[in-house]
Amino acid sequence: MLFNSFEFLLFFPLVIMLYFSMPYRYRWVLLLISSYYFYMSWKPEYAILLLISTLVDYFAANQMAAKTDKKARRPYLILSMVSNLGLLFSFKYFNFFRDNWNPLMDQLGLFAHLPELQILLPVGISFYTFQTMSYTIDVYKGEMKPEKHLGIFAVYVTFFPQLVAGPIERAPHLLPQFRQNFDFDYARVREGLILMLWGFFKKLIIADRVAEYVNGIYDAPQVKEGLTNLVASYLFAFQIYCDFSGYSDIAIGASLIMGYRLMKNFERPYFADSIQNFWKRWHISLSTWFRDYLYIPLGGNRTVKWRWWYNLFITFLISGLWHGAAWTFIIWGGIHGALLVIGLWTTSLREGFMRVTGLVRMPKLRRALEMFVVFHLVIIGWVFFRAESLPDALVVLKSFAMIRPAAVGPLLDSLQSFGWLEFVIALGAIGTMEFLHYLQERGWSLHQRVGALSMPLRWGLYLVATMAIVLFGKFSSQAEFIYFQF
Amino acid sequence: MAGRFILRVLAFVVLVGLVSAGIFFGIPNNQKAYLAALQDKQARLDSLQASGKPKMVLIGGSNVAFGLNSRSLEQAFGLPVVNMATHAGLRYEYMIRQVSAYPRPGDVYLIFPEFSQMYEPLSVGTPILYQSLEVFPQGYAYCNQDGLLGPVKLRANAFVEIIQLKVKRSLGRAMGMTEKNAYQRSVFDHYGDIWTPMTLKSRYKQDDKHMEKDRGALPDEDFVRLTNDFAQMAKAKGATVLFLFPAVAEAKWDTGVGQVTQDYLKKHLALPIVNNPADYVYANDLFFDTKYHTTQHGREIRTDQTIRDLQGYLSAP
Repeated sequence: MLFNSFEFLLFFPLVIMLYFSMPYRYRWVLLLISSYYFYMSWKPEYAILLLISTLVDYFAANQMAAKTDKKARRPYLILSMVSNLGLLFSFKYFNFFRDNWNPLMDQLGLFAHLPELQILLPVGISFYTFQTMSYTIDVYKGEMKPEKHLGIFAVYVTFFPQLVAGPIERAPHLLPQFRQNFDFDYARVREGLILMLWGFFKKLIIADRVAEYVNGIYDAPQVKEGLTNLVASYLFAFQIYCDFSGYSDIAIGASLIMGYRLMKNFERPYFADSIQNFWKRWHISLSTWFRDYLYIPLGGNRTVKWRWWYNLFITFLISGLWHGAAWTFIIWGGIHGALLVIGLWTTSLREGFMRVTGLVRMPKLRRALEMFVVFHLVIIGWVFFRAESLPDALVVLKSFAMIRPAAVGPLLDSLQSFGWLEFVIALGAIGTMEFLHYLQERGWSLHQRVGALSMPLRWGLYLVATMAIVLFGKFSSQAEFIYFQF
Repeated sequence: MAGRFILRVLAFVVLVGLVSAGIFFGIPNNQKAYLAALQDKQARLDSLQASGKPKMVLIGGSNVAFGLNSRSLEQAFGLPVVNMATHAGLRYEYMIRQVSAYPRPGDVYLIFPEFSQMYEPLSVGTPILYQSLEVFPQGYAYCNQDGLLGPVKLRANAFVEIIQLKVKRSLGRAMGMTEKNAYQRSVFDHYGDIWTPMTLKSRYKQDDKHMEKDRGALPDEDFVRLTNDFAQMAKAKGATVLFLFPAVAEAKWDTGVGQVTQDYLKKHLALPIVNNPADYVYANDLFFDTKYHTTQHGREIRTDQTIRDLQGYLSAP
């Protein structure tokens, strides 16, 4: 079920009403049933994968807890890893592996060809497998006790607001919350609703609108002018941010209404002044997952310099692969890994540049320049992320370098086909969002400011925001969230 | 606390509903819109039906609206023609349902679906479909309303899409962004063919690399079922139903997709397939603005070719 579907509009209020009218001790039953219903409304048979992941990790964690010796716990950790990564490999990566393996075998003159698996990628598999793996790893390391209640553990794995696209929650943060008794709290519910409204604004008004333009351009970038490809790439940067952070906001808001606090997943990433800072603001639940379960175990930065850089690069390469089974995603990860390493390598060089140019005395201008550079480096990465193939990505990048004055005409043509009004609405919405982000960067809290308004003003604002979504949201396309495919 | 909150939420929902209803009823429908031609087409179909004589009905997306000369077809086969086509976004199911009550002995139904329609699942609504309901509310009867929530969902989607359309139209006018293109009700003649843009020069450009997005490896099963059911029903009433591939700009033609589609449909469709899709791949400059919208010259070529192909299936007057 999509958050932006008619079904969710009925499903969610019904769940909320049942939730608050139910005795605390049975709420997990409601959450479990509603989460499975939410997932099964897409492809019912794939719920079996959720069940497998739940049962294996529940069993493995409880077996591990019974062993005091780490060595004795290891087989159960391996069981959890093999089952989760096995599911992920079979359903997400096998065909990609096959597509690369078979030509390699041909080159070697061997005919050990692998067959193609005719399967659909289960929605959210990368999210829930990573979430459950973090649980078993934490239990293995002795950082938390296993959950004894199978039902509550199953809710942790399947909790519908964040099941298919995160945030990837850590068990020590989320699991105990399912044992807490949350009463109806007016302020909290209002905060959750505002967050959901904000998420819908980003998804329906910006992401799905801009997607129509971006898809048209990226469908055949080789026949487009560089300027058109550039504008599409800028717009994609906002599309992907609004799509994914919109989902996260809706998920966090929906959970908050029930009382559960999910972790923050985005923190205005395009205000980042370095790539390192970007990754502290973008998909935080995933980047901290990779930090804690891959980068640090590899040795992190507590090692020699070359090894530190290698750890960073490998972590981002794998993070790229996590996003999708294609070389474009691996290269996207590699670009970010390389940028981080280059950033570390050139720290003193850049500081020197700031001193020589006097920018060190102009911190605001310096930050603006850094944000500008980081945004454009991120855009280069997005080209690989969005392009349908590696050659397409290279065509887009090459076209950037060949922008000519005559390219304005084709750009205007493409915008006219998209619709000038659509373009104006998209720009207006992006401008509004970035203005609010700017205020938030300066310590302004949307929720607190709205809460402090008088009731007529507050209602007026809610009405304007809701009507903006009703009148300018893209409903009938019911576009899936981009991160569902991961 | 919760009770008071629910009351407030309900009050807010009513407020949103009232504002939306104000827009829906307060801003007039655009009777000059391109899709308002659905009324004229329906009126012609009804009038031909009322005449009691056999008729020829052209079914499809805008490839048919732009691409055929009904007068020539009428002269070639001696049957009065109605061109029911406006936009592929109305969905194939809609188009078939719209004519389902009309087959009579001696009638001829020519179906020219676009390639995308052969591959799309039926139940998905489109903005065009919902927008058409502003000016042609009879169309609700032709829409997919499957499922428990189907009718409610259709009406909710249509309501939202229509108020969006009305607001954007008003905003566009206020900002001087009115559509100055050829897509208006007035461009259709009394047969239902599009005439005005035909005088315009080709401005077609290759805008994407695919003939169609490869939505599935093979045409949709429901597409085949719906076509066969209609053909069987019409045949039982003494009508003839023929399937024809559309004309496509050469820039978009993908031999592989064309061949797979043709082979699959030959095997599964229980009605004659009149033409070979590869024969209807025309030069790009025979197209007005998209891969399916022929210019006047392109339309004449296609009509002549279609008449020649149909002669093997239909007799001259």
